Amino acid sequence: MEAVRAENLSKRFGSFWAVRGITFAVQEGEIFGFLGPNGAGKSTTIRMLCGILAPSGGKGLVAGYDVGREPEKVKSALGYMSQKFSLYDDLTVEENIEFYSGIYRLSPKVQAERTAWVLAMAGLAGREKSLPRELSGGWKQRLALGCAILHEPRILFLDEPTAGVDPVSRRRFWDLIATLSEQGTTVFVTTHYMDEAEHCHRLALINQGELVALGSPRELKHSLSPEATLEDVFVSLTRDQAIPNPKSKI
Amino acid sequence: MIRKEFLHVWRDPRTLYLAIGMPAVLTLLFGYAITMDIVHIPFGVLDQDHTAQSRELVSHFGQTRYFTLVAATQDEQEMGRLLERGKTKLFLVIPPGYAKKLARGQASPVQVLVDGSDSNQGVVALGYARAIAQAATRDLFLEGAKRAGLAGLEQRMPPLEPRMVALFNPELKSQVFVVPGLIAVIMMMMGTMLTALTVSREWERGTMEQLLVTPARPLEIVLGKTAPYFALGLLEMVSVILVGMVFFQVPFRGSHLLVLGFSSLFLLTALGVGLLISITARNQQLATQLSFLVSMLPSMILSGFMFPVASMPRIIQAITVVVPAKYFITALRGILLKGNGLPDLWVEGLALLLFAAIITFLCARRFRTRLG
Repeated sequence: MEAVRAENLSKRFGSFWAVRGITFAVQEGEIFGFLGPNGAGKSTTIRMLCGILAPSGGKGLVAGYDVGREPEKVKSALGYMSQKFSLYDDLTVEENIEFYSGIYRLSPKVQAERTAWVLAMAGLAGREKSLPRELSGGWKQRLALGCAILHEPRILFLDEPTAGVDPVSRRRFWDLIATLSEQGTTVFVTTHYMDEAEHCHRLALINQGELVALGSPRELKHSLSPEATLEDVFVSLTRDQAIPNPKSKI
Repeated sequence: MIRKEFLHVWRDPRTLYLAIGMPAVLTLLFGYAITMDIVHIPFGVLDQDHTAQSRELVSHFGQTRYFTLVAATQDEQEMGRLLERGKTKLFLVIPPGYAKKLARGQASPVQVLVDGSDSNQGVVALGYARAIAQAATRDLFLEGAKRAGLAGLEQRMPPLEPRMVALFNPELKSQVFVVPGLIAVIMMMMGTMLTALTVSREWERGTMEQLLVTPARPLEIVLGKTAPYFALGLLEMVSVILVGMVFFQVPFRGSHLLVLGFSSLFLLTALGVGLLISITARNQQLATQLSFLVSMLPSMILSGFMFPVASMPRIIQAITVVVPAKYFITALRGILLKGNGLPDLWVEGLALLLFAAIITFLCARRFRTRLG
């Protein structure tokens, strides 16, 4: 069963093509990684798939719904965590959870259950009345994740979820992702960090708006050489973005 | 360091605009709209004398650039209505026997009724009226005396003070005049600026993007963001009126419901403008600048708050037609000070309704839960 499908997805801003002809499919329960340098089009692609940016061309299907034509249905079926963590700094942890519960129209019983679950998962039990600005990166990150999955969506989109978070918290976060995946949630994640890419079932490499590689981490590494690391793969495919050697004659 | 700073200024169009554009706009605005000269005051006449002299008196008034004759009536009730509705700011009442008394060298009283709800204008209008009436009556008196062959009467000229009555605001207190305008300005500030700020703040923080991804509908988001400011705006109106009434004896002669109705319409417009600004300006800085330019400035200068519209050049007057605050202030002054009802203020009511409707429509069209 396909959870997410992109067919020739494209987006143009004026005369600039941010994303061009991207095609891939993500199976249910997969952890799918989206890698690429800054400005490659990762966030644009995610936004299209989440239904908040209309595609200029091509088609996107999430949970069977067309992102261009039925964005509202798409939004109800997915959970999203943005780069900036999107928590309200002047609302307490509790109030943030309460707010998002309301948005997803959880019944009081479900809300109570899920609130307890999120607090436990994030390790914030006992700190319900803290403000997010008082929390360090790791806590905020887990809280943001919690708010994104309050309604137990089948598909989860994470845009650079571990940016600026310490390695221990990152590891803990990926354990959570793995658990979710085992329970059947499809996780679509963008990241810069190569070591995290290893945790994904499959990867898509984006460069300058185009898909340049698609496959499992092992496949991608082996396509280059037996000892290659993902970083090597990444660098080799995005070579034109590398800093030119000042000594070479171009 | 200096060179770098010059480069910064040059490269940032916003700074350039502020440094060059704003002062230019402000100068033009302040130069033309803010005028301490009160001119073209609309006035009416109730001539009960019907003599050549009474007509002379009237034409003395009308020929100056200070007054413009807009009404002549024989009916006292109509005079009252014209003053109440603000169609005339001043009324000249010439009692029967005016010319006869002048011819006989007697004191010939003339009554001047001034709309005091606009106390700035009122004071000035009275001043003009007094001067003009004195000069005119003196001329007429002397003419009449000459014709009657009476000479050397200058020394024995009776006092020529016209009797002045300032209606609605007998002491011509400026606080009474200022309070309605203040309500409008504060409401505009609260409604437009705060709304614009709160939404652009969410954009800056990234929470707006998060909201867009949820199933929350545009109407829910908009209502959620603006409801508190609507309540605050109404609260502000009530408190300013109360303070005005308690400390400055501002009267409340009209219907409470009407005040509520007009305030709500105006507030709706202010909130809508704030929302539109926030859709365009996704960061707080720009939102603040735009709010100030688009809502505060016109509301303070072009609405009749401090400076009468009739005294502004025609072009600026034309611009004031699209300033919602103008209609609101007129309506508020009318209701509070003159006890105006809906029939008196239907023009203002219609204008405010129209503004609210157009702004709401624009917001509905432009606020989408999509980015591009």
